Amino acid sequence: MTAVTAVGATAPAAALRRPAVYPGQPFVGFTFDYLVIGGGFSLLVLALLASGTMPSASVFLKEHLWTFVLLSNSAHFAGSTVRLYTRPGSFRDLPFLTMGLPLVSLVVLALGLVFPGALGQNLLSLYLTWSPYHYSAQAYGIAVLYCYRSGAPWDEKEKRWLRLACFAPFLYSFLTIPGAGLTWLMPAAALADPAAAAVRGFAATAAMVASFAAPLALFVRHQVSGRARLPLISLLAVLANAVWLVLLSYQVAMVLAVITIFHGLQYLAILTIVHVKEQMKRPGNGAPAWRHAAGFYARCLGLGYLLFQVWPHAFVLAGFSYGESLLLVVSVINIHHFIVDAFIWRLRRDPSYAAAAASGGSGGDAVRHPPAQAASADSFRASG
Amino acid sequence: MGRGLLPMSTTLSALRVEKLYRLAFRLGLLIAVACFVAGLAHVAVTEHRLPGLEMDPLVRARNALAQGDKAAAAREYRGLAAVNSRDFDLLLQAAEGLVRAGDAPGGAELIGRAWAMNPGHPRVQTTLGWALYWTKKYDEAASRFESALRADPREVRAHAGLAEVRLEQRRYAEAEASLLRALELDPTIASAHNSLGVAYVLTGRPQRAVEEFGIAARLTPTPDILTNLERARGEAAR
Repeated sequence: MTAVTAVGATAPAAALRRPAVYPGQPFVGFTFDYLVIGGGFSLLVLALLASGTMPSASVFLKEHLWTFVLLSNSAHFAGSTVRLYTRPGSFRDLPFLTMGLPLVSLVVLALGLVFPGALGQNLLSLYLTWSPYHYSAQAYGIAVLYCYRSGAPWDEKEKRWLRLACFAPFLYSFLTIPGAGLTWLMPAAALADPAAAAVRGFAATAAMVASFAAPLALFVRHQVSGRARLPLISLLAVLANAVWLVLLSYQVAMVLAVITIFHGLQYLAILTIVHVKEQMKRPGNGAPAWRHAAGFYARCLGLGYLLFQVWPHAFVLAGFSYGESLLLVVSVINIHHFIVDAFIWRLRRDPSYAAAAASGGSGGDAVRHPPAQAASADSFRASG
Repeated sequence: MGRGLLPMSTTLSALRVEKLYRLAFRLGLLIAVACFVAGLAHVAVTEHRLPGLEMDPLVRARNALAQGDKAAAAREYRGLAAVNSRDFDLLLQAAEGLVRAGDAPGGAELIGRAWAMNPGHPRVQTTLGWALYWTKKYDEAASRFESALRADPREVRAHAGLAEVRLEQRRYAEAEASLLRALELDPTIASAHNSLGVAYVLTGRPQRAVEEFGIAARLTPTPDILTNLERARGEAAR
């Protein structure tokens, strides 16, 4: 009787605590989470660039573009590798990923350079095709992560709808990116057929509409039904990804670079939070959180510099042109990152999930899922 | 008995696999470290600096052109076209670069490939215009740029190209108008800021030229642009 009373008493109390639109449980604070992890800052910057009202902002960004790319995007690529090799038990649990994949990547890179037409350009197309999938998977992972932190139970059906909403931008990219996706996999003659072109155009339009309408509809449905509510920050992360992949010209160099900067920021923020939480929980830890964060980021930054700024020059020394070396190094690093990410965030009972999903609070806001559920493939799959 | 042997063979096989993994890891690590050392040493020896923050695949080709090393530039452009022949924009940039590097047939071949990918696309017209500009066929180039702009009035490089032609033809007012339009559409084109600076100098407005050369130098500090900036500063100070 007492237990029934307790349950009956806590449920309305929890409902009363929530505002009309649930903003989500932030990791750091609402401002940081909405701007960086949710992608709000990217929307502000991209709107400023698109409006053309401040040409000096565009010039400033272009002037320092590669610095920002190093600080964010290059570091984020290195981040998955640093995470892989610093995560306890990685060598034991993932022997191929930790010990075999680096050599395989090097061999593939060398072959791509030697056979640019037969292999190199296909590596590039594979990376360009996979990249929007990776972005959409990250948006989905972030959305689900905040859902878990909200404590609301999600069944498979609801997750499937959310997944579909998150992957609509990928479908749009797959159908429209020149040199990748459909244009890579299908012969040009087949795509040029008027009927095929019409179907493709219709599908791309449908995917474009679904990229925005589907997450909004899901959010409204959750608000109306009053259960398993999608936090506002989850919606923001999914819509930000849709803007990146659908509204902006994905292959225009500067826009692409700006998008990668914000994608990297999102990833680095989550990764650093996971790392710091783990380190702080270690027995005998005496260092403050900022020191763990700074140390982790410094390693990511250093490796990012070596991978993107130094590595291509080694192949120039071997007689290849800088342009093709850079493009293929970037392609192989991307593909390696996609594979590593898919594994390091997918492991069941992975400590990352407990660290990332736990709110750090207590009572009604704490994670209510058993660890195995929180650690499922869906809780934070930053990559595909 | 047979059952008893199985775990032993399995263990041996697992040990062998683990050994192979460790060997692969050490080899991979060794190659990666060697690549990093080689990359650092190569830049340090040839350029007397550490590798800088630059991830533009065309940067080496542009630098080679700026230094007059046409063979190196052509090699870079050909390498890019070989590995990224499906990227429409990069193919067009490589085509224009090859023409500038003196390989007009190579450039034409890449323009043909781009045309096959997107027949009649305004950017192909623009690249044709630039190819004609670099071979000093200014009237034909202007015609191509105008054709591209009729198809797409927001084609930035066609505005910039038309401006270059007008500068060559000493039609400075028209050049200035085209450059201002190009920079309105994309304020980050260093060459357009540089050309606008040139137009200002040639029409007696060195102070405004300093501003434009200054922006161009911030975006791409090539020796040409830095020289222009210094000259304009000198004229403005008089």
